[in-house]
Amino acid sequence: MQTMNSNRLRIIFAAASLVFTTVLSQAQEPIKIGVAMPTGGQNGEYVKRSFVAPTEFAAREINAAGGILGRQVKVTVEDTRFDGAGAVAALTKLINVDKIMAVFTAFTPLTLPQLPVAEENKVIVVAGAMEHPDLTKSRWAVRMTPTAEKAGPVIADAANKLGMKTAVILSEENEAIRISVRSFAAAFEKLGGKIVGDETFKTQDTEMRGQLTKLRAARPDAIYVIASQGRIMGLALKQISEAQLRQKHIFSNHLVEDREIKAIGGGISEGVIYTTLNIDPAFAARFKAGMGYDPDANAAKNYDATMLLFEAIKRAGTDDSTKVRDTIYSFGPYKGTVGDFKFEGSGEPIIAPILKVIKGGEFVDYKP
Amino acid sequence: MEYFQHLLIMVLIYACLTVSLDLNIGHAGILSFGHASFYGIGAYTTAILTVYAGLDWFSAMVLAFATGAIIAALIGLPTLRLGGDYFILALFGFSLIVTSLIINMEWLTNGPFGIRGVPRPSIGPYQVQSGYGMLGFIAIMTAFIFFVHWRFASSPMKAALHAVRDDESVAMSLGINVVRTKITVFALGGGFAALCGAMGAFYFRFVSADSYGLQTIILLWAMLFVGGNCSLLGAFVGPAVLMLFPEMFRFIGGQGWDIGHIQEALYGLLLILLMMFRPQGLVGNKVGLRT
Amino acid sequence: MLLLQLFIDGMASGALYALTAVGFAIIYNGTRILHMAHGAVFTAGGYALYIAVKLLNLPIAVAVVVALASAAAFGVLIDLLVYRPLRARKSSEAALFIGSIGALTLCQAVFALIFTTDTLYLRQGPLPIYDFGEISITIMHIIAAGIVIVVFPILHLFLTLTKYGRAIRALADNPKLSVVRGVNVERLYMLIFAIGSLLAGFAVSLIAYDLGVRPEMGFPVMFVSLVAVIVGGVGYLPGAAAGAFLLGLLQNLSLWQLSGRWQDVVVFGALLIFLIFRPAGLFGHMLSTRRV
Repeated sequence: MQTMNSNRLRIIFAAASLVFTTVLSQAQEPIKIGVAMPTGGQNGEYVKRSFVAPTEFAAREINAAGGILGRQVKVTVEDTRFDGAGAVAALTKLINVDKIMAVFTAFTPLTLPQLPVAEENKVIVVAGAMEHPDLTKSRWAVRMTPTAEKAGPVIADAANKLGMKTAVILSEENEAIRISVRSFAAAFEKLGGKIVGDETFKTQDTEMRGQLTKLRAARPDAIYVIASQGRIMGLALKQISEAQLRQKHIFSNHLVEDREIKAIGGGISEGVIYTTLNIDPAFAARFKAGMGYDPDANAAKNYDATMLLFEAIKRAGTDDSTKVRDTIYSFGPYKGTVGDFKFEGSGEPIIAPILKVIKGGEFVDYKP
Repeated sequence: MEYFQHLLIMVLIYACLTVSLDLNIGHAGILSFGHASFYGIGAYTTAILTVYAGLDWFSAMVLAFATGAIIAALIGLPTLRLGGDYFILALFGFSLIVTSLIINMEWLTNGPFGIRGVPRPSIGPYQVQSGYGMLGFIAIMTAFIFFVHWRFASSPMKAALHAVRDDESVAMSLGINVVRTKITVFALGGGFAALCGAMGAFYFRFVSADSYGLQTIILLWAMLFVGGNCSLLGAFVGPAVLMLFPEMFRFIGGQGWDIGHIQEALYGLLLILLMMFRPQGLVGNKVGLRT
Repeated sequence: MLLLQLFIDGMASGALYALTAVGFAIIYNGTRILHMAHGAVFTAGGYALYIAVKLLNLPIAVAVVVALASAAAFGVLIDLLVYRPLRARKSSEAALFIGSIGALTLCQAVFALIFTTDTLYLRQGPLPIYDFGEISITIMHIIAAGIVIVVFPILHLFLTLTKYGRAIRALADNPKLSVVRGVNVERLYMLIFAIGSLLAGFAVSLIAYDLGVRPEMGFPVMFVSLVAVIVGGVGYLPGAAAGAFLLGLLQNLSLWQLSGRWQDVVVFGALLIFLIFRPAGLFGHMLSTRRV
């Protein structure tokens, strides 16, 4: 009897310890997320600074605070190169090898081919700064920025209040930007203004003097210049100032805050009024202390997107991607570093851009 | 494993592109710098016909082949009589025009937004889904395209082509209609490239103008010469090496930031070393190419 | 007024294009290599200028000399390390072309690894502008025109009057004959690469000063050069310069009536039509031997 009892006890103990270690090892298994973005190539440095680093920074913060649900977060970064095939290769590698439950992506031509793969594998696609409206048609995608068509009316309204009668547009050939340009033109003309010139440049261009010569001949009150990268935005502003358009105001988007424009210097962005999102100064200070440079709007959006994902995992109580996705879609209000978002049934946040102006090299709130 | 499926599918699509480029460059000596454009034309034709016109996948694919071939014939008609360098430039210009038209003819191509939602092929009630089904579909298409090229490589047409490639005046004296031969083979190359575009559109379900530019042309040329021209095996080996070689670095590089640039550097070095030590390509025939 | 300004903009771009295109043409005519790595030479000159100005704090005139010398040395180095071994193996033109693309890719990646992909700026703010009534032009374009006016005649004199210059032209006309006459072809190749790369050094000094330096800045240069050389007529140096100006003018004048988004279609459509009706290039008839 006694031997049997002790045997039984031993078995029970062994079984219990097995269950315990399994539970424990599960608890210690990290939560795996991936980043699939073009970290090499033409804008690699910019992508790393404003798209990859914020996610890694957020993971570092949450891990230092004890992780989520007692588990650490593991971020794996893969280079997509700038083509659809490379984007899919990077994502499938992250899914198969690293077993991620969510992926952070950027840029329309890369993200749209990734979406079907992510949907089939039930991986949440977080495209923090992507403005293409089609993104959130997918039931697995989330963004943390207003769509492109929301910027135009805000600019048109400000231009109208400043008494601008005519405006020209100089924009990069890019899908989201074309939407912003159209929404601006429609809103501006509705308010009684007139678009007297509309020129574009390609992402890899270095010369837009011919276009500016033509825009100058139209003698506009205002110019709306819009680009998707700091480098080309800097060139545009520099050449606008060289072309001596004699416009009364320059309007633009958040890329005027990019370090490339500061690096060119010479006050080319002075007085520019632009759409952006506010960045919480406490976050900016924390980020600077951790990473050594100031976050821009895109960095803040990607940080917010990462933190939203973490909050949703916490709220769902699991890292099961379907449950986390549902939690995000019904998240309700979310207080981010770029302002108050609201998710009601999809990955499309409810948030509107604000206006800022550059005064003495500083980015300050715009007051008409 | 979607990862290996994807890589295999990409190698197969690029193998088909390479073998059709070889038809032009290797067999006929037509230095086509517009091959990526025919690839793009095929992808866009497929996307427009299936998504906007609601056509079934098979008709769309056949029409993509026809569109590629017809446009190639039309562009080949005035340009194929140009000398080598001028022909390269003419097709270089053609490819820039195609990219620009795709971006600007928004009513047809949806401009810079690209077209999404291209359907997957279906055979009877069976709808090809992602993964093995798609791999199977691409493999069958590849087998078909390689079979056609293999038949060609053992046909009398090949001898005529090589005669044209090696010396046009000799070919003429042999009674070969040089211009017609060249236009035919150029149109075929364009058609097959367009077919590859259709395959790519079915696979990615999304087309956008970025994928068919200069980078792709240079990649295709590199694949052809790494594998070796006038060789069916070479058309496999080139894409396999250039697609899989960079992927290796994902596993030995760990979490390094600058893996992308190291990849590029080694890729460049590989091209130089190959041309030095295996100029006929890894498995190409010794004769190489006359330009 | 608009048309006149566009014409001047076009001539100004053309002057910059001409400097790289003529360098490319000298190399192409002499060696028959489609020297895609000319773009890497161009970029190397830009980084040399950056190092000289920003890190070594040299005066600008000295820095430009450093950039010119570096570009020339880099061009010769590519010939020695890449093309010479390929020539020794009697490689086809296509193999040289692929090797050249390899060299361009390798260099671009190495530049990115060393200097990152951020733009390195040499100067701050907008360029000084000169106004002539309603017409305005930047200092950079004036200098570019000045360099073209000074350097091209010197180059022409060198090629027609000196022993080495004549040898280069003879090589361009008929490579086999030069070997027979006992000219050291390999040494001549080094000279050709040095001169061609030196011209790229002039162009990149101006462009780097205006736009800053980036790893991939040499990539578009290649296409401009290729187009200019072939439009102008292979084998005829002034043709390449004319081709470069034509390209600059077409790009700018196409903006007169059409939006900039149609620029590529107009410019390359015109080129295509031009090639079809004048298949030997602008000055093809001036050549005794025509390449087919």
